[in-house]
Amino acid sequence: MMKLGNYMISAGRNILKHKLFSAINIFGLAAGFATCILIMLFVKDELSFDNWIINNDRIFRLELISHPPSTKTFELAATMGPLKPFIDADFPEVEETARLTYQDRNIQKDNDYFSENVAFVDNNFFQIFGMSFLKGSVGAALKDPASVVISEKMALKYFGSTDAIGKELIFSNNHRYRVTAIFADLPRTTHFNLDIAIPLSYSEFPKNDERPSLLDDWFEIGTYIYVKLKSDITADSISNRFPEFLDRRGPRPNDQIVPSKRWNLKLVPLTDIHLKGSPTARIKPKGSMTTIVSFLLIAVMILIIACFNFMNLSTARASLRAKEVALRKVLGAQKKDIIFQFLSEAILMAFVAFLLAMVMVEIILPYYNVLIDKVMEIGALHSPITLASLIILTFIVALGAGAHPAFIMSGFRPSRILAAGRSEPVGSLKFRTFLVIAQFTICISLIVCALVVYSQLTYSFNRDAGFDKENLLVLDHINDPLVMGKAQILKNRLLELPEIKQATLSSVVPADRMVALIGFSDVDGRKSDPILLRIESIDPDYLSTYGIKLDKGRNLSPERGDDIARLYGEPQKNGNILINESAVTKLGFKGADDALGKQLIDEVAYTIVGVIPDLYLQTTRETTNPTFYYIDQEFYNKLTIKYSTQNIDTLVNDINDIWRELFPQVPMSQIFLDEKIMEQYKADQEQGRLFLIFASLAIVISSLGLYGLASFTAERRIKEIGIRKVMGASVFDVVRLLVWQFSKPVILANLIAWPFSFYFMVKWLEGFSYRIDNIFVIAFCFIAGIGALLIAWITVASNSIRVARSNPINALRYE
Amino acid sequence: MLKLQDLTKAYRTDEVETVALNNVNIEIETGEFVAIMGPSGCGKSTLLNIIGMLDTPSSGHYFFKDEDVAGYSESQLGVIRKQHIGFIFQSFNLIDELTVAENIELALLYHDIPAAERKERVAAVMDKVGIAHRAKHMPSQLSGGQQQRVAVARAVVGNQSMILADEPTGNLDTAHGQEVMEMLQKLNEEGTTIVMVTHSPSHADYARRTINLLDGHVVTESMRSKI
Repeated sequence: MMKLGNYMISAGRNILKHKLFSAINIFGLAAGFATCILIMLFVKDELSFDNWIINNDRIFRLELISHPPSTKTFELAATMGPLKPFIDADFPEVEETARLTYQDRNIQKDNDYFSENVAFVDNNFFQIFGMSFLKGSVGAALKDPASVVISEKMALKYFGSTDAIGKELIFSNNHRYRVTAIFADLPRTTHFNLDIAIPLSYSEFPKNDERPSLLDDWFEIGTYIYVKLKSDITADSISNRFPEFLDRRGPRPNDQIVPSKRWNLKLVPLTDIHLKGSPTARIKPKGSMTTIVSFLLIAVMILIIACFNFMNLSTARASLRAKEVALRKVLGAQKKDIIFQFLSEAILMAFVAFLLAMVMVEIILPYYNVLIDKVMEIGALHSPITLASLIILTFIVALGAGAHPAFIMSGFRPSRILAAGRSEPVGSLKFRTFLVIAQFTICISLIVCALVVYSQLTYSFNRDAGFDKENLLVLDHINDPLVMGKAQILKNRLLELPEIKQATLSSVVPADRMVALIGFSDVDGRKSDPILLRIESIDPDYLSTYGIKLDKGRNLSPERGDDIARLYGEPQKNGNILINESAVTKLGFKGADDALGKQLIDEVAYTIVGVIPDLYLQTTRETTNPTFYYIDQEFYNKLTIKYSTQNIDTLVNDINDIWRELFPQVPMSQIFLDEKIMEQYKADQEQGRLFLIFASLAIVISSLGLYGLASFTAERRIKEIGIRKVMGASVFDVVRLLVWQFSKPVILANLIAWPFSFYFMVKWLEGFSYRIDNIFVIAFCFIAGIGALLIAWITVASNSIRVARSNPINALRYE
Repeated sequence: MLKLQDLTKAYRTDEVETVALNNVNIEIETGEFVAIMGPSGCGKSTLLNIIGMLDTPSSGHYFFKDEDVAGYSESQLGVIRKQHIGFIFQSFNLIDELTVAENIELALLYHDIPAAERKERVAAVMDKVGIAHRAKHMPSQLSGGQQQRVAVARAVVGNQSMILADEPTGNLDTAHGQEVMEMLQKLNEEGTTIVMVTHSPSHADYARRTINLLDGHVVTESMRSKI
């Protein structure tokens, strides 16, 4: 123990004596630890979805796999509402099932109206998920059809306290619901949202306008069905019966094929929904396993960089400590004592770094949360298991990084060192160069990643989408029963505002996720497999508002009766339509001219009178859809306004005044189109930003290491530099010599990093249908390489100049 | 060749001023072989450093080939130094990572001499000092005497007119010391000016003139002519 005390004293003094190098060492390691901890917090958060739910291993979501004709198979998180009773009846292995679906409702509070995303659930929903209530009983809460269960947050919002049992919420101005239970706000790590829930049940729920039509309609897919299996039943044991089940119970698609050819079902375990569930029709955006894996990889790489620094600097410093080691050996220290001494020193440093890292995390976490749009707390680290594993990690890092210098130094032969008076170079230069190469390979790869992600995003925002994105404001809730009838009046009133140039009503706007499809198997008398077209109801101002030019033909005009068509609702009505260029190709026409006047025939015929260019409505990941545009005034959901003013706030206020005057009971909801388009790339942006931050961190840590290493190398080469100067080398010659020494590994790192990052980034880009050219990836490789080289030069040069300027006679003294 | 006039060098720290050279007046003619002797700390090395333009005097004049270089900047001195002056050190000061040939070539590297000519001159000088067979060896593979021969070769490869030797035999045994002294003598006979600091009176005997320093002063100068 005395020995340990002595080592710690010696270690502590050594740390203090070489302040710069200790600071570089500790700070670099701390930054590495902090990054790791931040990434681990993110990963832990992503992996913990729905873990809080009791019996989560027995709960599954029934998801739909769709094989539409002539299009790729796709998977939906939601499925057909009417399936539930048949699942209950046909599968004895199922303990119970519950449905969930959402609709927006306006809820009144005093004289204010709020639009809320209301959950419609089966009575047993809360039992399945094992949720308990703060107030009210789980069994009885949804018995009465006019009951509502709300979260604590909603209770506070509408009633100011959780003492709300028995109070009333008024929906859509006339439906009254009584609060029967209050539950604690759901953890953020839940795959569904639940703030206000009302019951949904066949027997008790009257068929009125509150009842979501998707419960009865096989083809309107938007119901989430949760299945709880009896214990000891595996999902596989029932999944293989789904095709037969669908054929027996499922709906006949209109093309007269068996349901199992068109659809299949799958059971997704509850805790897999967030990361592995179907990508479309989700409640919350899907988490990305790729992101988790790549971030974990980055964490490991940054930790490796930090460890390499530690190893590199410690071995480099070893040469300065040779004399101490030699004296300790002369005074009786064994090899193992020296190893023990240096390892304990490494452990001391690593723990100081660990503590510093915890402080850093505490400081950075709020900003990090904003950046990745999460609400994580430092408390997540305080669980004994997490803390223990972090401490073990620190130990491993300390041992891993400390072992190399410890063994090198313990191998010193004291006689040589004491006799020479001046220490020999320590550690293999090759090994250290290898570490620098590895560090810079990682840095360069990360920079390339960040550059590619960023430029793909920039490209996504700035590409010509075929329509104007600027100065467009979209109003929602046009399909609200109270608004629907007066949509045209609203449009006309708004057009009276001087700032508003144009306005158009439409079923969807760019960046909407909702997609309605229709299949035609009869194109102008030509019979084929059904060809799926995306449908969009527009009005005649759609083209002018969005700045779209017709390719061929004419625009639609509601004044002409035959320009109004109907696809939904009974009966269908024939009429004229527009299609886009990809529909021209998909439908097998030779060109826009060929398409004009041709008919698409379902129960009635739709005649093509105009062709417009393809619009890029979705992200750059999706391809454009062949689209069918028609006018159906009962099928408008959105109103888009083209404005020309800098004074946005006044404009929105003016619009709001008109809205409130017309629809006092419906809250207005508006979004700027460019923001809506941006929103789609939020996850990419977050990822890009994180890559950038991690890349910068990796560079900072590597540069710290390089700086330390360069100064040691310069010290080590001081004699050589002295000789060279005596031989006539100028300061510039010497700086060039030292800088070149560190350029070689960086150049080598480039050669390793380029093919790797090129391969992976081209793979990543392949996920986009519209993407930057591969030549840019090559360019970014060069830029990253040159950037890394410049950083290395700056780091090394400052130090080299100092050494190069020193008087050679100091270096050549032999005393 | 050179003339030092009232030359003084003082080192100053916060508290103490140490005078290393005090009012030194020395004149050395072209082609001379001069030994500088004196006890440790008498200012020998400082004097040699100033003559070698590795250090600058605090006051006084230093005429090198009739040019007063006392106030010259480091880079101006560097230009003169690399043209005219070669160095030999007690501890050889070869670069460990370079071969014998590369170490010698170093003295030409900063002189804008084409690579082919450099190779030729290095080869010639290696022959002259008898280490051509060791051209590709590293300094650590050579004996002390061989290393010092490399250092001598390096000092003369640039056709320097003056060699400054700082205890060139200090780290060598008698036989090897003898060898190096004979080599210097031969160079002197061929016209090279040599200024050598030494502790060894027998090696000082090779010089034609000995300057004795004590506490920064020149105490005696003695001429010697070989019989």
